[in-house]
Amino acid sequence: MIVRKFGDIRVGFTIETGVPNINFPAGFPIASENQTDPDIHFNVGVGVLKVVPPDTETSLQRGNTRAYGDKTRLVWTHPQMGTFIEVHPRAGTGSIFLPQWAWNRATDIMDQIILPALLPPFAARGMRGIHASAVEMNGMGIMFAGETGSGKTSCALQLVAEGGKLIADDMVFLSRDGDSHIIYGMGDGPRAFQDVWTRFPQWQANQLEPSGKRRLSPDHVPWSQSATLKRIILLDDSIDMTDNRQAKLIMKLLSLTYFDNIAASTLQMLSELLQRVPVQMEADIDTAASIARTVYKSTGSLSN
Amino acid sequence: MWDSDLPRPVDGVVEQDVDEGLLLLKENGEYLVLNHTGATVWRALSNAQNVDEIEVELTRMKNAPSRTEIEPLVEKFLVKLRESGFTKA
Repeated sequence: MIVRKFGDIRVGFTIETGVPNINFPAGFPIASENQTDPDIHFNVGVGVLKVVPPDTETSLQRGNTRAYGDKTRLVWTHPQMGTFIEVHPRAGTGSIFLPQWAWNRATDIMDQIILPALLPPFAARGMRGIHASAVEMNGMGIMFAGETGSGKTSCALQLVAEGGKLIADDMVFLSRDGDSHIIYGMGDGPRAFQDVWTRFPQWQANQLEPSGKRRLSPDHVPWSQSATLKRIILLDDSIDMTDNRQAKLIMKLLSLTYFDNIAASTLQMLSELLQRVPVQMEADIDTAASIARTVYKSTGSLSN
Repeated sequence: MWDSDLPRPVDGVVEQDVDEGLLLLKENGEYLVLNHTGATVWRALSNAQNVDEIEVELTRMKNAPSRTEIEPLVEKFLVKLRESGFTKA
């Protein structure tokens, strides 16, 4: 078993032998190492991913996707996809049955199975997943939040091309640390359509997803990258901010966040976040990236 | 005396203080932002015996208008809360 740390949360992975048709990328914790007991433990087996569900009853949702369960079951559902993850109790652990399309796509397993499975136990420990990309430079994190197709990946890649480190592309984990908010990634490569990749020839996008998107090799992306969040750039300028600005920002971020059934805790977290981290709204991708550059330059973090 | 017509908050409404006053969120995702006066009325709905109590409380607020001015405003506000599904009879 190998243990990766995400903030104070230790996530252990055990890859059982004999997994067919799954080529795990470099950086995926497939090696056997004896480390301390994790808080959350995954067993990846033959066609089956086993997860120890959260100790307490949990319910999360974002958009139409909903997850619910407790230590005896964990279910993810979507109106169109139906139940796409279901954990059943079995000898003290649960089993997630991988959809067939994921059998030979390790990064899809990361995105569609492991990341969602992490959300409830992380939420029980005060962390939230938010639909965003994030980049770090000298320990300073900037998060680009927005809907699918809003340009999160494009913004992040612009800054990575200039020396920034990619923290996360599509799912950023967020937790509070005293007066700061820390953002984490899971080490998965960014996804983008071909037109985005043509702007960044220095990287080889070598995986094609069912959606037609291409993905940067996970070799390029470090595991467990984290940073203190200093700025949120919301890739959306359609919201009328002439009144109720804070409330509207909270509701917009809530729409991008996986939150538990006790939404009060998520609202409070977002409220605290907005009190400490400035938010700027900008729908134009290049302008949003320029804003991020300005933030970095103001701290002397960007070399040119 | 208990006023049976006084609406009460529906179950599951989540509250969050914001700069503008109070953010109310229903389980279905609908939300409402109340200014500080509206927030005072909302919070009173859980405890007040009748509308009179709420109106009296509002008259104690700084720069409060007269009771006769407050009454139609409260009535209109309560209708809005009920029509938007944040309260029930």
